[in-house]
Amino acid sequence: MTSLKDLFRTLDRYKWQYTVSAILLILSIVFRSFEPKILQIAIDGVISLDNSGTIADSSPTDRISLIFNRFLPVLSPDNISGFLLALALMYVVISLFRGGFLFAADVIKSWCAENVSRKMRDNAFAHIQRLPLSYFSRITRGELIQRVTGDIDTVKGFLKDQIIDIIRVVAIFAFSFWMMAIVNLPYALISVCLTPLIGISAYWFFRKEKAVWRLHEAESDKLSDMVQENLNGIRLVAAFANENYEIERFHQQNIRKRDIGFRHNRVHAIFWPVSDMLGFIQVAVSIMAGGVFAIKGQITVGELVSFFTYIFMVAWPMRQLGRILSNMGMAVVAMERITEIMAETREPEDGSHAEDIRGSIVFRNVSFRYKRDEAFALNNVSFEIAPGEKVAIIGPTGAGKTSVTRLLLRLFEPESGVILLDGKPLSSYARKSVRKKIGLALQKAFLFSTTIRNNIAYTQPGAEEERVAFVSEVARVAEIRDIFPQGFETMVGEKGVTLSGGQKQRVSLARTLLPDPEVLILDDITSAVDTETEQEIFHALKGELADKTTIIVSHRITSIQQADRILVLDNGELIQEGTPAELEKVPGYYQEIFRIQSALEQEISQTK
Amino acid sequence: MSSHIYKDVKEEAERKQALWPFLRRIFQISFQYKKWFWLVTAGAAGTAIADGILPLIWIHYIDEVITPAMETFRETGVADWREMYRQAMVFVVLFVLQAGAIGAFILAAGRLKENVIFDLREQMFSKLQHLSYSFYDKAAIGNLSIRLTSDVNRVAQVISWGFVELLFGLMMITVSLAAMFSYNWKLSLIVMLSVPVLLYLAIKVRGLILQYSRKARKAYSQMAAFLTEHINGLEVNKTTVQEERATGEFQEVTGELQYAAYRSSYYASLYYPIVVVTGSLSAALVVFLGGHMAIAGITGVTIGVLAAFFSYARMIFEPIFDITRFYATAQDSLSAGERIFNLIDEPIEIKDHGELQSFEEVRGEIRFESVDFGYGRGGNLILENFDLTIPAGQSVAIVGPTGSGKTTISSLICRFYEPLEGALKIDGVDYRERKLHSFRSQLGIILQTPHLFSGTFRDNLRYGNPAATDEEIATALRMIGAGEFATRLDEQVGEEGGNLSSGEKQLISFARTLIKNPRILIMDEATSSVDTLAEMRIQRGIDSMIKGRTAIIIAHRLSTIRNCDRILVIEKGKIVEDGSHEELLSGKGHYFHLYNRQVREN
Repeated sequence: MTSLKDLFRTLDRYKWQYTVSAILLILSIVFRSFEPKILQIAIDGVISLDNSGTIADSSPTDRISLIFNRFLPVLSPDNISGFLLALALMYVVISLFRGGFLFAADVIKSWCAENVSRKMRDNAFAHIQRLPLSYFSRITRGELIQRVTGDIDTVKGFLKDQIIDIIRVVAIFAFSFWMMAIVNLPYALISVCLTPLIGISAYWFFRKEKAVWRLHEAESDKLSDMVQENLNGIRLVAAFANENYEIERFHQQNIRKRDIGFRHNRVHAIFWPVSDMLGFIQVAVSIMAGGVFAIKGQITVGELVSFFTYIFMVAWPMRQLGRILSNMGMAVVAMERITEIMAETREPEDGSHAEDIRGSIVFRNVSFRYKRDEAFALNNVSFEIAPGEKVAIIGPTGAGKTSVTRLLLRLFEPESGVILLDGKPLSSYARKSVRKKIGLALQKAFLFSTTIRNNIAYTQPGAEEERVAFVSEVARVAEIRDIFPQGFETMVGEKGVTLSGGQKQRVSLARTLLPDPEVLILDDITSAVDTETEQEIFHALKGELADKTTIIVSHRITSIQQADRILVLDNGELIQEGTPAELEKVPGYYQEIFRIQSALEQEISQTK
Repeated sequence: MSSHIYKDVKEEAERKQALWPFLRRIFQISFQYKKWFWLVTAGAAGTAIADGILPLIWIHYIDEVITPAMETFRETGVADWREMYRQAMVFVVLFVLQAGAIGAFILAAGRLKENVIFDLREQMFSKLQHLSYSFYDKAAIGNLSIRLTSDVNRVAQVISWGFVELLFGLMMITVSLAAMFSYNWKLSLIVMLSVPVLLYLAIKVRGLILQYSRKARKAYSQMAAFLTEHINGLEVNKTTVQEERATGEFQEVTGELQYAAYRSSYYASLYYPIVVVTGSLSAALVVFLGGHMAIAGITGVTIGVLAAFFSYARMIFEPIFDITRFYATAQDSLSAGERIFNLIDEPIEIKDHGELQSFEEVRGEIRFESVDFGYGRGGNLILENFDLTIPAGQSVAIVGPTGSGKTTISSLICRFYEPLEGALKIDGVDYRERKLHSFRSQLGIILQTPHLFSGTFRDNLRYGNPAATDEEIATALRMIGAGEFATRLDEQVGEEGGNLSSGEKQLISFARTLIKNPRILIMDEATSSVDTLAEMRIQRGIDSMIKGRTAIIIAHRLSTIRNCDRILVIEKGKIVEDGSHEELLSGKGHYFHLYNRQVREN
């Protein structure tokens, strides 16, 4: 129920426009229910002239017809044309009002719905961008995307069509009932006698549809997940010659999806004819009853004819209830899913601005874990890094290397202990400020689907070309540029060329270097680059890094040896620390890597 | 500006031309389900007929039943109810038939839709499994999966609910016209007067709606693409403090979407009022002229006829609305349909030509005979007149700079691509003369990035050999030094192996290949994504795997290469050095330099 309230709250800023739209729609329906009256007056008029003794008998008695009559010339044999012309014009005017109001109502509500849904998307996007990274381990990114696209679409559909549908159904029912009631109440009651039954069947439909649709969506999701996974691993399928196995697996899921589709359709194929049947029975009863009333002279022929339209109008709206209810159910679920995201707390923006940073970093008894019930990713880790120092952090997968870099950027906060930047607690600086000062380049380089140049200048689209050229040189992007005819203007990603892992790493390194951050963290940035290029990069970085505090995370000896000092992490604990020369002599992770290295070297020297 | 308009006009014309073949093709598919196809037709036509003749029955009711009965009642005070009972029966029969027809077309349209979706999906999926690497080099995975999910729905919509609308609309117009003309052609012509007006307006407005809905859809996919990218690249925005700028750019995109979607709704809102007002013009004419006729006592224009024509004047315009909506639905799904049929029609480049023999168990001798190869026709050749013989059971490492042709060689051996000229022979037989499946099933290929499927460890380990027992799995795992996984067979690996590190994933993929027990082993940079210690562990696995098999190993880690029987140094598609590790080192050529550079610092 709260979600329903949330749904309506989205309209807050547009509630006046929306109310106006609803009033216009109701007005349009009022005019619609006037239309049959014209025919009624015409027919009764024709009949009255036909057997000219009986004018008094068939002149209308209800309020609406009396009002209409006031606008019409008095019908007499020498004024037939004037009467009919006035009547016809009146009909056109009524239709113009009906159509005009309908158009205005539709336009206004579309305008509101488009504005609201855009606002929702904008807010959701801005919110997601500001959520802490920890949130993204609780939800898949695909699901987030689904919520901002599909779920907001559902809500938009609700605002645009479903609310209006409810108003329409109620108004049509009410006004056509009223039009009959003012002429003949018993007759009006007869023509809605089956409405409760239609309502009940609509409710049955709503329940059934909800249940089956949920199953249908589940099978659909399974099917698209299967396709996605298969396509991502399509080369593997070929490599294992497992095409037929995959086809069979898909076939089974496809059958399940089809069968649940059949089942979903069956619900419709039962409900609609049954509710139509009920509606038809009601119409038939009304027609017959109307005949009896007319024959007995309780209503005129004209009234009987106009009732023919009203009984259809009254019989049909109720069966829409089921559809409206089930759509509303979907909208409520969608709204819940959106509200869930919006209720998450954003990363706070508090803290002081970091001025000139010298770049000393201290970890004091820092412990950290990603989830409460998990093992510590970092356990009581302490170390110091002097300004301008180059430090390598090494260790096996899962040792906690990446956690160190994430804490430094305040992407996560330590559970206990303190991190100091230039002697002040890191947590006293604003996150944004910290991230501007500390540049991070990642192993899994993510590029946006735009040009290479725009990727490099991502943080400063207006950057000077010399700067772009310079960082490209340092990160060895120039070579990539020369492969493609369009050079730096080459599009990458979905809409352009696919770069290799190593090429992506180099572009992303250039992107990190561009704003000239005070501290640089290179998180395994050359893992996919060949040894020669790696050395070129580090050689070029030397000048750029000269007085910058630099943290190098790597498992490649060539990268590690660039450092003044090495920190060895294992299982979240700092187990060794020292210069490369020192650690060579102590048994441990570094020595092991180094030993492989020297074995190779020995071999070479023997060859020489 | 004029060229811009010209482009629009041209596009529009092309779309119209493409529409017909597209419709013919999807109708051919739906026509396979003859039963449902005819049931839809019958159901929709039946519903339209029932709707269309209702006013006729109404004429009869008013003129033949009510009016006479009223007069008798007025004169005698009693009425003859027998006619009423008969009339009631007519209504009941008509309504039962109509409800039946409605049920029939809903059932049949639903069946048609699901069946067509099913068929298209099967065809596309099966095609995707057999397409060659050259296809996937160019294709974006995201675009492909859309064809199997939303595109099929869109297309199936056309031949199910769209088809119902079309049939209903056409039938309704026919029945209404026939009924009207059979009663009074003058009044019929009067009603028809506004049809051309409506048709003109309907087509005009439909065009505007289509134009903006197309724009809106384009804006929507841009929005979705932008969103996807910035959610996937969230870390970049965070670490470089670009959240605000990204949000601003997103707002520009949603602004465009909002504008286009609003414009399209605007014109769509115009549509129904136009139908109402044109209908009212016709109905007003019926009231005016019909009223005159009725009063003048012209034969055939009774009260009932007046009432019926009033109904027809109001209802004949909605079917036009339905028909143009079908046109719009079809137009809208045209590009989805093209994407689907392009995929289904995509030729499979690598397949068995004619009835071929299968490979028996191969020994594993691989021979390149004057092979020419390049990616894409008319492009540069990567390999030219390439010769190479690898005896059965030999392990060969291929080294060389990026782009030298290492992966090309291994891809040719795997028959992911085929030589343009020359031949590649396995045990002396050109592999194109044997069944593809019989060859691939004897290969063990380990790719650079290990891919796991969601499911348990066991599911993944048995991927190449569904019959493998837990015992065999455990043996294989121990052999590559990953015995600890043997106790975790029932654990889930997560979506695409997300619960595992890349080193662990690669170990699983080694074991998986070993369990398949291939005759020829191919590894392409299989250790580049794992750390040094994990690599050492895997190295032991590699050593035990290559025993007794022909093995092709591409690597830039020399630790992997050293243990191979033979090393080939490739540069620009040529073998520049060929020999054992020791031989090549002492030769002090390319290999020596490469080796030296990797080992030595600065």
